[in-house]
Amino acid sequence: MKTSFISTLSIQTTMRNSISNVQREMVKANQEAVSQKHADLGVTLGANTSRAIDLSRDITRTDSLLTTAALATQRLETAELALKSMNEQGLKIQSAILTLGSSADETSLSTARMAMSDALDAFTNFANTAVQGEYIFSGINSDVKPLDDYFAPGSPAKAAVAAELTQYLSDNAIPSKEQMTQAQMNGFLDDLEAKFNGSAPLTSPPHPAAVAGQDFWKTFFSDASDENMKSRISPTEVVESSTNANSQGMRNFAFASIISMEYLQTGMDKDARAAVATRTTSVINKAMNSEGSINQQRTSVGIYTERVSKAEERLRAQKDILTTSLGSMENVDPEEAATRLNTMKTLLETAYTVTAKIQQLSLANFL
Amino acid sequence: MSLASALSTAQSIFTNSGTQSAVSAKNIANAQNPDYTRRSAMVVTGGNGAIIGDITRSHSEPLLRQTIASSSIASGQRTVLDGLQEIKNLMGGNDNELSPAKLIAAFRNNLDAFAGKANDTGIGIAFISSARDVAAGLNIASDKLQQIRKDADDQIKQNVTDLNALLAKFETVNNQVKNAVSSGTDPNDSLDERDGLVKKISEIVGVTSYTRGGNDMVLYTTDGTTLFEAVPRKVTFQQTAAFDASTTGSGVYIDGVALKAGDSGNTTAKGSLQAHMQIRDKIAPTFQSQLDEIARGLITSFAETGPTGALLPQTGLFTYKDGAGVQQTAIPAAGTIVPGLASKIFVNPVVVPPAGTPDKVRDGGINGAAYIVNTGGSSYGDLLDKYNQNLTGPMVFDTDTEIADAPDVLSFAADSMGWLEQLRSTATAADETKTAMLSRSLEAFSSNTGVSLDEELSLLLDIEQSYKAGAKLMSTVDDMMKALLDIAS
Repeated sequence: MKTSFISTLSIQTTMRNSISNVQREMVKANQEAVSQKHADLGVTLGANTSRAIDLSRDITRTDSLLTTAALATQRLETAELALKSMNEQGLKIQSAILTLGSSADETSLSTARMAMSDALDAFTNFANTAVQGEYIFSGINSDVKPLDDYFAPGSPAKAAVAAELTQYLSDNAIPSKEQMTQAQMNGFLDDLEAKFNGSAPLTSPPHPAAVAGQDFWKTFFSDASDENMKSRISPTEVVESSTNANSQGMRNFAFASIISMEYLQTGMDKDARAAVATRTTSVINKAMNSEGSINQQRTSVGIYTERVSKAEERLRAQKDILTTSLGSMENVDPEEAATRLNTMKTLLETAYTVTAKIQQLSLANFL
Repeated sequence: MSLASALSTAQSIFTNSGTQSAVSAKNIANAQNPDYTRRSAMVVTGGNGAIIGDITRSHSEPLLRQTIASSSIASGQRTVLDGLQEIKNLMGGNDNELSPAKLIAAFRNNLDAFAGKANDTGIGIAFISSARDVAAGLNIASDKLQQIRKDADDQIKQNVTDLNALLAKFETVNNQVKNAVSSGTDPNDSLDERDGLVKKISEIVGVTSYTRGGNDMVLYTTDGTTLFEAVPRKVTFQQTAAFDASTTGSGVYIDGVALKAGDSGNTTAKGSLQAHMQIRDKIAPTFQSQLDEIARGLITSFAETGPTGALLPQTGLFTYKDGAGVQQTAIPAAGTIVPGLASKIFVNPVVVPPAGTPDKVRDGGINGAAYIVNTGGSSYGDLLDKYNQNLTGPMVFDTDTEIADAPDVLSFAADSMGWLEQLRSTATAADETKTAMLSRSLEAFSSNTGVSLDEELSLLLDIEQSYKAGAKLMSTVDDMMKALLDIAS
């Protein structure tokens, strides 16, 4: 008959189990104290794992949107700087015309022409500003320099302007540009301005048949695309992060500087020259301050910059919130884990002591 | 009564002490044997004084039943948990770094970067490289998942073989018990062995036992199918040579009746057989269907539709092969699982440098000139942004995936991890409970039926005392006889 309801095997197994349980818990507590996250996130979170993954994905998305926004800011700020400098060049053209007044001597005229060519040269340089391998006034065609250099040898732009003049002279049976009257000069300038601002297409002759009907500016001056670069700055918002050299402001600037540089010559009729000066003043004003002008471009760039910085602010705030929510799901209190580890240690020591003591207890020792 | 009868009574003390010591010695020898049930020699009045009537086992039928039941439940749960753990390991460690969800998130960051700076070939190459990581991740996960199904299938085969061997052995032992009972010899060793076999069988398949006349045992599965009655019933299974997403593993038949697979995280599986079937036929195929839907979501999100969006959609960045290994251009039908798509998805070679160029993703035209969207310049990011938006655009998923309510492919990928972790979390909790229950029943069973060394030692003291008393008795009778004979001489 069995009289005791405990067996040696069950005592030993129970003691072994309790020790291994504590040891398992200790490993967990140790891991949590060190990593400050739950030892097995999947088991702790269960179905919430998908939310944790969503959150951490949103956090990295926010990071990459912030990177995009930083890139956009860089583009926009560079564009703003260049446009501001262009505006200053416009002011220089204005003051050069004012200084010239009605002077007819070669010194004053050549000073004015020099000021014009300097302005055009600087303007071209600013329009060709590149940042991180992108020409920021090229629109999406950012691998290509937007403006051709008017002063480069064999410049197609310069040749095209000259061809327009030659055609006008021959159409109106004018022997040379020096013989142009004020009315003829105005007629020519009207014609050329329409070509520059794109309201009149190219004609053949004087230009090759292949380009007939196309835009004068885009054919000879600019390689920029009308479509601007865009940046996604929030999950729901895309802004244009660049502008391009095909704006009316850019066209007018080039037109004003070129006509004054080319036609404010000593040999020309005084009235025709006055017409050129008047036109230069009016067009450079348009270049700076009217529909599609350089200052309007600056305004849009400013608006985009502000939207980007607002979006950045929002993204940072959002990231903080997301990080907090993710942390509250995944993190453990390291102090708590450390305390738990300590308690486990004490427990384990007790278990060892008790096990050793019980193992020593045997009736056999007393027989 | 005579002195002679006193002498023979004293003799029976020696016989009894001998038997009792032998039983005790056997008990002590088997103190560490979990299948051993403690014996005790029952002393009854009879013959010349007392005889050992019977050697009885401290058997406890209810506790044995409890142990068997909890052992099959715990074994089933443990097997399911191991399978889930194995699938989880495919997804990486604590951060699930190999999961499609995480790979797609990394891929999407590169897509964001590329859309933001579309003229940068370096970023384009990084973007393509992360796209290849996503495709490779899906391929590997899908292939390994099928390997897990194959392993489960092999385990089922192994379990069936073991079960048949155990049943054959059970027959032998059961016959030994019956013979011993009918011939009146000691069946105890065979009984221990038979109980041990039932415990082993219960780890493979849930079992209920029933003892008939002549101590003949009958075994049924917990579903009620006869497993053993006089002779073992055949357990049959046809192994499958190779698994892919559309393979269905064959069933296990006990006595011609199909065994049901286990169900849910806190599994209904009793024994490892049903649990392996659950992994092979339910968990892994569902997870596979989720991987397939993720692959389909990616292919659909990056489909090319031409400049106006009116052209026939064709596969873009992500494409796939058919069964014969031919690259396809058709977009798989919406809301329907394409079995094994996750193992067939790959990045279109025309966008992979050095032979191809990432610019084809940016500008369109993977499917020919008609599909070119951008002719303006290299900083065109609109198409990339459209693809990016598609990833969070509404999408319909097959309800068989169990997570079809996910709104878009990114959430779907995250939900797929949630689905897996939910199962694993439930299974872990259930495993803890069921293991605790098993160790509790084993403890109770062992306490009731096992050997306590101290008890045996104290009994030995008793036996020693009664032996000494018997010897004293004998020498007293001897003295008395001697005195009597002295008078006579």
